[in-house]
Amino acid sequence: MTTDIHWKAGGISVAGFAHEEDDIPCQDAHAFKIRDDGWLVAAVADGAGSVAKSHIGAQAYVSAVVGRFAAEPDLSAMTEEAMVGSFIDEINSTTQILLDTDVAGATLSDVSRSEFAATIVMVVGHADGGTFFHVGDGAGVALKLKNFADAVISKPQNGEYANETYFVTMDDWEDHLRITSFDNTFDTVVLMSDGVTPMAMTKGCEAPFPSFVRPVIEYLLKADPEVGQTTLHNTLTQDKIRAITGDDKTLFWASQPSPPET
Amino acid sequence: MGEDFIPDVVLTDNTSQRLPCVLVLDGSASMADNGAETDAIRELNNGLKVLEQELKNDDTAAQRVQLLVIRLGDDDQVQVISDWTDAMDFSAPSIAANGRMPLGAAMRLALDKIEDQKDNYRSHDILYNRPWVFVITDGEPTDLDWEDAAADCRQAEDDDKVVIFPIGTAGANFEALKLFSNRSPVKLDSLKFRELFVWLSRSASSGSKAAQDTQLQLPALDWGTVST
Repeated sequence: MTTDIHWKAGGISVAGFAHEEDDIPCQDAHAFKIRDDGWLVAAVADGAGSVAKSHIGAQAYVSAVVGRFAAEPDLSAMTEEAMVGSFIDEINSTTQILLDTDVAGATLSDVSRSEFAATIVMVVGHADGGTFFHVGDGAGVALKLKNFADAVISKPQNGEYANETYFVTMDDWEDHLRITSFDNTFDTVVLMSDGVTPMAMTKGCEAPFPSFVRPVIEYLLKADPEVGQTTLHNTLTQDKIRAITGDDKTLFWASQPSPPET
Repeated sequence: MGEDFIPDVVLTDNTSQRLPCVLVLDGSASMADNGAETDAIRELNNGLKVLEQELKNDDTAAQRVQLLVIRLGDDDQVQVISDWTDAMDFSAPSIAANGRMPLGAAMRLALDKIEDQKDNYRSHDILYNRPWVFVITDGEPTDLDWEDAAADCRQAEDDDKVVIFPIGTAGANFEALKLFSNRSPVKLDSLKFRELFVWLSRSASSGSKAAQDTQLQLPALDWGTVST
């Protein structure tokens, strides 16, 4: 399948202030792929701060699910049900690989799946729309850049407490997998970890916060990719953010730029 | 990397996430007379000042932590001596040491205050972390039904309502303290209140996230030893 869809996309994961000061690696990770047929596949994961190997889990899960969907021969032919099945299968396979390979310095019985605990939000999309696959917190947003009304949100799931959530390593994680679809009225997709949601979303994650999301996306669309990445890094690590969150921050964005007006 | 930022971006905390934290502090007479070189009440009050400064120096904690302080003492009296306050506005109270130690009543008050504050958060759509209660004492409870109150505390933990950290100085009755939480009490080394409150501030700031129904992993203790 050929395509005339042109995505412009990018992503960044930066360590939070608290982790930098304690010399703890960034426990967020992201991965994305824009296929030749115009399909976009991207994922953001956030490792649990309470376990030491969650950064390994986060990276493994995003690489695995993006790799899986990037390699599917014909995404157009896949039903949503089939995509969900592939997602679940890939997560569970990755968990098993992590357990089987994590033997350096530990016996297998020492390694439990919870050590790789991570949330995940993935998007698989095309010009005709797409789907979010989501476990835990963070958020996925599909929006029209010129009009934020009616954005489709995949919200975080925390339970009662904001610092407790659901991870793909839990026994019942599939019960917490949420699927949210959007149609072709949207031109921009944003994924974020919970270090970014306080700034990029309104209270309750009911909507994207225009005064953050719009200038960021519009700037990145126009910027040279390398300069844009540096400036986004500077923006997400500037000192004034300390008062908002000490968490790791990941932001993935993809947009189909509007054709120039004639 | 350069210091250019994306222009016109508004950076605000739209969630106003909070960590409610109650300090239940022993103001009984024994805190001023435990035979040590320096008395516990003076070290406790100095520690509270350190806590105030540590919280204010930490941008995340200053925004996120809310404190309420309960003193117990006098004639089996408990009182809120500092009502819910954002850490950035917290002013360390001074704890007087006299009277008895109605720990049961103090802990019941702490649990009630937490549930009231949760209602307040919910009514304003404010996200919050699982609340913390730090109980710090050097003696043993003197109110008659303290064991019932202790059972209520353990039940509150079982019901995921709160995390309770019992802390005792060397003379504390750890067998009694143990009954107030499913966590083992910690014995404070040499009146290290300062180190305790630095740890509290850093733990509150870490933003560590855990799975539902699991305990948070907190920084290692450098101010006490777990009493088993």
